[in-house]
Amino acid sequence: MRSRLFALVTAMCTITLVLFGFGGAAEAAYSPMADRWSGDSVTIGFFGNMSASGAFQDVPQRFAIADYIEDLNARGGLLGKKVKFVWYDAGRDALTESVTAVNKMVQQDKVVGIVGPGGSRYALPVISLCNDSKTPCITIGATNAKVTVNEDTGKVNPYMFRVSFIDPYQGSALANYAYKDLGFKKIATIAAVDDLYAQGLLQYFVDEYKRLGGEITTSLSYQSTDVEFRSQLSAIADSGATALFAPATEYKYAAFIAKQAEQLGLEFTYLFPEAVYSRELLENAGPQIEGAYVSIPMDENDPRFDDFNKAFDAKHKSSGYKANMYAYYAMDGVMLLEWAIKKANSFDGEAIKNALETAKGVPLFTEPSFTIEPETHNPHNKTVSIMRVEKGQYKLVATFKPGD
Amino acid sequence: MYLQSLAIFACVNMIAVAGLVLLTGYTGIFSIGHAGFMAVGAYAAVISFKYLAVPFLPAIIAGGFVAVLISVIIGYPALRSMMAGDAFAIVMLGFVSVVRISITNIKPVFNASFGISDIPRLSTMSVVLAFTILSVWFMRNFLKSHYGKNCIAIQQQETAAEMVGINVLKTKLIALMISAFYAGVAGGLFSFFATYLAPTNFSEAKSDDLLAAVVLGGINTLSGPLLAAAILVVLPEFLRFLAIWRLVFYGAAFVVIMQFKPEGLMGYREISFKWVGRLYGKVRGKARD
Repeated sequence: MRSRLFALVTAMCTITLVLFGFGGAAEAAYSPMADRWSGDSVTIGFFGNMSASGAFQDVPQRFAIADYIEDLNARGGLLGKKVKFVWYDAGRDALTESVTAVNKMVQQDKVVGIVGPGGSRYALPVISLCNDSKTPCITIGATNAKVTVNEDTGKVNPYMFRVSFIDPYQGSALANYAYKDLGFKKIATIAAVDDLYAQGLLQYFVDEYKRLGGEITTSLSYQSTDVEFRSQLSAIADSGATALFAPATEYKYAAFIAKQAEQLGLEFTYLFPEAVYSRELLENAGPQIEGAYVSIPMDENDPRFDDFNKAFDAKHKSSGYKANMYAYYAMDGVMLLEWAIKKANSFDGEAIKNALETAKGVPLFTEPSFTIEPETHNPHNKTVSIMRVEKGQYKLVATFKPGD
Repeated sequence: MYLQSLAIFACVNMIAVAGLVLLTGYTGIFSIGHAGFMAVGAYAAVISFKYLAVPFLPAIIAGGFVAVLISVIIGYPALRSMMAGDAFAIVMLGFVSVVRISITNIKPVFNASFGISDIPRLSTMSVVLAFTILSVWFMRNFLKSHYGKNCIAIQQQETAAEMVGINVLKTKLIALMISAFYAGVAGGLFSFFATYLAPTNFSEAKSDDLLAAVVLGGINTLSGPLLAAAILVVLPEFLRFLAIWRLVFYGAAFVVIMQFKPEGLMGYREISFKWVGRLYGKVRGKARD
């Protein structure tokens, strides 16, 4: 019986070898580039977290891209071809599902470009896949610097671009605002120790804050699965800090921290990054979040987004999702890809990549003049807006471009 | 490349599950933290390759051996105290958390929660297949050997096994070491295909997947869990046409299988090809007529 088992495994493996090719063929398994636009339509892909915690960020992105492509087709499509949209969920296992999703998009759907994902842990495993297959990927919320620049060589990842902040940029901007504008000479920090985004922001915030002359009274951490923060909050109060920088990945952490601090009778002025910015934070945290500062790339209350918000909310009412900042990011991403394809006048991956590298002063959804830095593929001098929670609403208190 | 990536992930899962079958299926030691060994093997292999200039294949093997070393450190005190199967499961649950949280706190070399990126994609189809075939071949021979039979004896009646002269501690420890080696190798191969290594890749959910494959496949067989390991990789992809309902049906498949096949997909039987021989005989017989 056992010999049959071994025969089975050997047979399965032999069949797999024959079907999938041997060894190095793996890298050469991409179909010719021209197949991507040989029909009367082309395809744009999106993947991200649409089933795990944090899906409130990626699902509106998917809706926004789908709506934009629908509108694009109504306007005649791209270079005379209709545009199809495919999306895949990678929420069950970010690493393996991102790899399989991108492989599926490149090989089976033959996408001309990818808009997304919304997070670095989805983007980092697919860098070499996009580079090898010459598929431009415009990430819309992956803030880790390594997504576009190879850490070891310092060279840019040729087919990876982004429309969002990077962690060093936002971390430094917040440190400057806290120290110079708000006048906090000492501050405490609390961040998820196992989260890429939180640790990235924390590192750059702390480095810049100390460089400016500020004092970090204590730096505490938690696990992403934690819901209890009272002991850390007590220790933070004991350290003498009255301001707290909490680079949380989702609004739920900010809500927990603010509510539990209030239960302990503690009062802090909070500084949060863009990832917690949502209407849900105001609804969940309520008065405890009053006076908190949040750095964001754009203000959802800006009247120029009103028409989009109304149309989005009406169309997706049944889903329960409303237009938010993440949807705006997605609009930036898909508009940038559209611009690059038109500029290149081609669907060829290399031509689109070259066009993206020359993007300068491109009008996007949130940025009237968007520029890509060719040496890093990051946005150049992106606007930072600081919001303050006042009477249960976000209120814009400062807007600046750190490079100015 | 898409089918290839599925095949590679399936093979990696099969290697890890082949090891877990020995420990949980044939020796009766439940492990709900096997992803911890995968993490150890993955980090050891990648660090050896990137920072110590060890070539790819020796790095993978080194990853396996580091996992073995850790398994002895964890397993020897636990197994020596004759810990029951369920108690050992909790030890392993703690172990996977210790590994993951330790790595997230070590910035030099391990790069904490930032993870290690830009790992070259060296786990090609041929390499992973070769490892899979060798792993299954070795496991099949091991289970047929005296050592394998000792494991089965311990699983069925530990006291009786001890009374007939089986060294229970040594046998259990060997089973743990082999399964840790398999998990370590699987972790290394996985990382050299995924090209990005972070502690979150090896959470408790990963251990659950491995254990689910063993139970769904049939805890007393080797071929059943191997089949289940491949199915668990392919099924979520196959169900993509269900869009947002995909994971609902994925979970429901577990419920249905266990409801109707509580002994697992293969129960107590290995996959048999006798029917092929019978069919061939019939066809030949008819041809003669």
